[in-house]
Amino acid sequence: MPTEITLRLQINGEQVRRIIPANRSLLDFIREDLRLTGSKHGCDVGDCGACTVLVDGAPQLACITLAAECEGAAIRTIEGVTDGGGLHPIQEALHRHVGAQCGYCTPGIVMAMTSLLEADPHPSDSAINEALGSNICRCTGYTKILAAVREVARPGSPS
Amino acid sequence: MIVFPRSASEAAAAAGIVRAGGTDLQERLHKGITKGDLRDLRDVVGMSGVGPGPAGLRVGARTTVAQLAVDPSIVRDHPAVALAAGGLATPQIRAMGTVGGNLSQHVRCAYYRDPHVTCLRRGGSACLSRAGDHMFASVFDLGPCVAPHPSTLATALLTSGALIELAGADALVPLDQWLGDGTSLTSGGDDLIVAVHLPSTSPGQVGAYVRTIARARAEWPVVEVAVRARVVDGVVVEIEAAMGGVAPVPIPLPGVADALRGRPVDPAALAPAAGLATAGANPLPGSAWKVGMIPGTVLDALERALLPGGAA
Amino acid sequence: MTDDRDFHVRAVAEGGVLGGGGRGKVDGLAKITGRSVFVDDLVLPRMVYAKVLRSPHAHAKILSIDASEALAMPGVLKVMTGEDCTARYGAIPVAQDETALALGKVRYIGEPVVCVAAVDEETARDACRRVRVVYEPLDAILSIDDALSADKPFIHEWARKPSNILRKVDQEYGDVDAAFAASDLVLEGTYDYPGSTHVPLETHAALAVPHADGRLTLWSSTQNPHYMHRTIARVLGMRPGDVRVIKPDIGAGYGGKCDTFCTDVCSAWLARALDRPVKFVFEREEVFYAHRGRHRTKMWLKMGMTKEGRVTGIDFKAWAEGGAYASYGVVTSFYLGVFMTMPYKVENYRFQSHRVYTNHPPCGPKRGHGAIQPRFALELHLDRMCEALGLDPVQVRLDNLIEAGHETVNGLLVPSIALSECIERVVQASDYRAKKGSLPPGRGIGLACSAYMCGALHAVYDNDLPHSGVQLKCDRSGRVTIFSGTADCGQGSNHMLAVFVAERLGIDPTDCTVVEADTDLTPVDLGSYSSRVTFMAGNAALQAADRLRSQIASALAAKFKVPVESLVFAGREVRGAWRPIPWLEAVDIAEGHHGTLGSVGSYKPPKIGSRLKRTSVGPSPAYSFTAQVAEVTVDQVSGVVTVDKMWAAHDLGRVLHREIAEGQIEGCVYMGVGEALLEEQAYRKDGVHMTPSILEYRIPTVYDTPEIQVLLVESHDPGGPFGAKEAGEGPQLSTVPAIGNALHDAIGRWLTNPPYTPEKVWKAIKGR
Repeated sequence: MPTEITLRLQINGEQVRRIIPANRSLLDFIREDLRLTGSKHGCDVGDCGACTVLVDGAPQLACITLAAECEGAAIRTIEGVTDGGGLHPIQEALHRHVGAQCGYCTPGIVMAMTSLLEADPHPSDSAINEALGSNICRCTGYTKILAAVREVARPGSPS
Repeated sequence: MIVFPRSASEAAAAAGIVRAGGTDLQERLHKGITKGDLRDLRDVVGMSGVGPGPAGLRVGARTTVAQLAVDPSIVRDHPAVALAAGGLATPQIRAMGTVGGNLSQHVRCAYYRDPHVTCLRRGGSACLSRAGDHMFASVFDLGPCVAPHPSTLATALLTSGALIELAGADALVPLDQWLGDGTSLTSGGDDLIVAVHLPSTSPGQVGAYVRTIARARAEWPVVEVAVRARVVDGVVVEIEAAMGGVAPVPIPLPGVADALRGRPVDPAALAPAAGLATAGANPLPGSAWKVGMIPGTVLDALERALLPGGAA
Repeated sequence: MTDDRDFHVRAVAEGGVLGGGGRGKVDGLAKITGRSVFVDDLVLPRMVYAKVLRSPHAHAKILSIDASEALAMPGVLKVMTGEDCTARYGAIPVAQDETALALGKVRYIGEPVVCVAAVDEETARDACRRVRVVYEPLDAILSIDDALSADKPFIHEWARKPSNILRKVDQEYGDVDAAFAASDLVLEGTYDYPGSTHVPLETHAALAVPHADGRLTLWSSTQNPHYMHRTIARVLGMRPGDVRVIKPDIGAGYGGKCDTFCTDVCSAWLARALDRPVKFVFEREEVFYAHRGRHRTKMWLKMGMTKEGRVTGIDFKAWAEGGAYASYGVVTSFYLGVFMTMPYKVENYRFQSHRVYTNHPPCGPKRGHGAIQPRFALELHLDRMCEALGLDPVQVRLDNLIEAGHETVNGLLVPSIALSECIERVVQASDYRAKKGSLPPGRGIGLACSAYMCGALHAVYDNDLPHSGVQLKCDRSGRVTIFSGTADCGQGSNHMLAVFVAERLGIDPTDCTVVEADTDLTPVDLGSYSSRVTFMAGNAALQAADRLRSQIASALAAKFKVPVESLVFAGREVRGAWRPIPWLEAVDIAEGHHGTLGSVGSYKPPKIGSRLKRTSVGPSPAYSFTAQVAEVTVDQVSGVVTVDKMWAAHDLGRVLHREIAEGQIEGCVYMGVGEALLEEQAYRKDGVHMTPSILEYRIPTVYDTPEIQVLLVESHDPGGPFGAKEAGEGPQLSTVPAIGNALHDAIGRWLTNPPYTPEKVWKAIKGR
């Protein structure tokens, strides 16, 4: 049986090809092989959401995803959240509301919220909760994060 | 170390631990309590999605829990299954976890998942939870291991009379038969699940799924209850109920269903019926409190399924 | 030149950067773009990885360690055991009882025993599993009763006077018995507060780098770089000047990263032994073993009250289960009692505590260190007495409040307090008076108050040195670099420093670069603990900023022939001469006038607390105060408790940045809700951790977190920088008792043992 595989996928718009161990997690692939360290190890078993990246547009826990399973997929990480650099509106709002305290969970939350807002620019509160439901933030009590997301989701209305 | 079979038969013939969504497996691999080569179902054709089947609906084993929760035919014909699928774990786990994986996941017992000890299920001589801490253990003590069955979907699927399609098997296996009676350690067996079949239902299905937990989401339930019913002109013409989190296998609640079937919906009759769910409970000393949680959880599910507007 | 006395009183705000309001924080952009650099993000040439093998026994002798098989594995470079680094260390000088790896004996399940360095983490992990350790199990001490028993072996048998009681405290002030005799009601009650742990999202991590000249750099996810610096130098037998500790961005701490961990010592030792950089990052499960969280505390409280509701006296006993090592436990033993004399005036007070050793992971400082447990007991007890006497809990609290200038019977001097305003605002915002006793069955509302410190007057080691130092560099670029030994853990202390400096220099916080927590570059600050940073480092920053401002002002005054006092620094210019002088020009003139510009500031707390004969723990230059109201719904069938909303009014002295202050309070309430409903660091009968994962330890998700309404109350503390006090710990104290009191309102039962899990609440409802 093969212990190494050749993996081809797109990461933040760039095609990459690497030979990797077959059991390498997507998170280790992103952090160690590609040196994109914005995605974080929080638990390595799918409990915290700090590793959330977008796989073909959908948020996915990179720590319990095998890199091998992402053959041919398009991956977006916090480093590629906006195409041409600059801030995504959710990042801008999180900054103003100080939605990041220690910032360790933040990349995962930005990715989850980016996916939500791209699929539905005006999500309801329950849709926001649902999209945030896989991400643990231990600092903020989610209050400032929710305020930021609501502001982007419903510009003009009080958050 | 890893193979990617392309068909169910190839997958069944291959060696290694089956990997579908990986949500449970990755944790066990990480802890070192599961070891070995992987056969990853990523490329298997025909194992995903919900469509018509010989019995009614065929749900491919690699269908994700999230897909199941929103599939229109499941929502319409098997609402309790859809609600259960939408109520377990977290959104991202539901997006990755599969139907087959949910049925096949391993127990959540702390002793089972402790790499430093060897419990009965991992080749030890005794159930460590039985002698040790077992606050969240079974209250229907049916077999040697006291860990409750972890599959929420199995609980809901029981109410729909689901059948399991196994690789290489000629006939579909009824889910309750596949699960076993909880008296042995092996529940489900080692054969690869290819699909789950749901028999056709009459129009007008109602359903409910209720779990009692401390954390709002993402927790294994103390008690979980699924109810499937059909009410015609105020009369309960069909009803099935099942309960999870309380026994080594999800258990059907025929007594509860029988008490209500064929009778007009009567709010006052629901609580006495729910009370029947504890019949036969033989809890451990530390898990006895869970028995008290059962009637209320069953009642909540019955009210949501049968009363307009759900529970009061 | 600046007169250093009372500089903060004169340091009135004029630049307009105080208050925040939608402008983020100086390090915010890095955080929201994932560019913050945490220890685990660092990769260096020739770097290798460390992992540890942990003890499967709660209490056992180590008979032998055979690492030959591990050492023979390809890629394994070094195996370290306790014998390699035998110097005992610990957070508090009088209780140095830890080694990086178990020495001769293991004292809890999960204690590090053997450390392996290898070319990658997987190899190091595999190698650990192949080390053979032979143990001889000993009788284990797994409860407070075990620890107090005379029939059990000593956990620290090597100590000069072995005891399983780390510290016993006895204090008495006034005449408690006479006070009780003169009371209309004397009520006794017992309380059992659970252990809990911090669960920072970033696991503990260290990266040690040896240098060609024999020096060592240690990157560590620590809250206290200075204390770590001292510890590492001593344990490794190095001169402090040869060790450099750097704290990069850290994924929070909440008190959990105040100690020196095996990540730090092992990576440092291995880096020197191998002459290669060594990285050591904990896995999630290991964080639950490293612990240093809240002590499970059993309490007995007796309180006297007149029929009008005046508190006459308090008799209080606490037994704290501390785990296998001391950590900050000596300090905990005092914190358990010291704040019971505020915010209510108590002239007669007796206090006894025991902090004991058990064979569990060590406890230490968690947010609201040692004060959370007694506050829970006191606030529930107060409501119980109000119920018994038919009094209004709001009025009784208001009637007993201390006032600014009050010195408590145990010698704590309170310069400022605006708690009555806090109480009035939460009571009004929540409609408490209308709701109390009047909500439908299963719903309830509860109030609680609390007091907390703003840094300790005494460092953990006795010295007469500044607690905080700040150094400023400024040159013709216009940028001001702030060097400070503080450790921002996400609470926003970097931004606070920038705010203080920017405010005094009339520039924007983003015109400042904060260089923090690098023992080679930054002046000493004692670290992020006991809510000291805003107050102490803030004062140091103000002093440094005022000195730099004086330099600039004197140069401008000389050039423009105006009095120094007439110059105002605001809006990136200096006003008061015949024309506004742009900041860049002002700096240019000053650099030309004085030569290279720079200034230093430091803060040493005043010597106060005359009546404090017996303790150096508790006195603080100021105290913060909180009032909270909780509204809860109890599912009468399942016992599931939902917190519907929390109102939190906090007297933080002065709002320096609105969102950061609110965020600290929201975070406190969130963590309190977790302790009230879900979280418990619990062990099986054999000492095994019950729930060593984020999933099973049950920290609150977004679904579990109530709406939190924060009300900021300003008391303008005379000693605080711009009048500011703390906001990052104190607000957690009142959350759990507010929920406990609300629960009583909902179901008519006093639940004295959080977390309020369904089984406990269900049993209480059923009267079992």
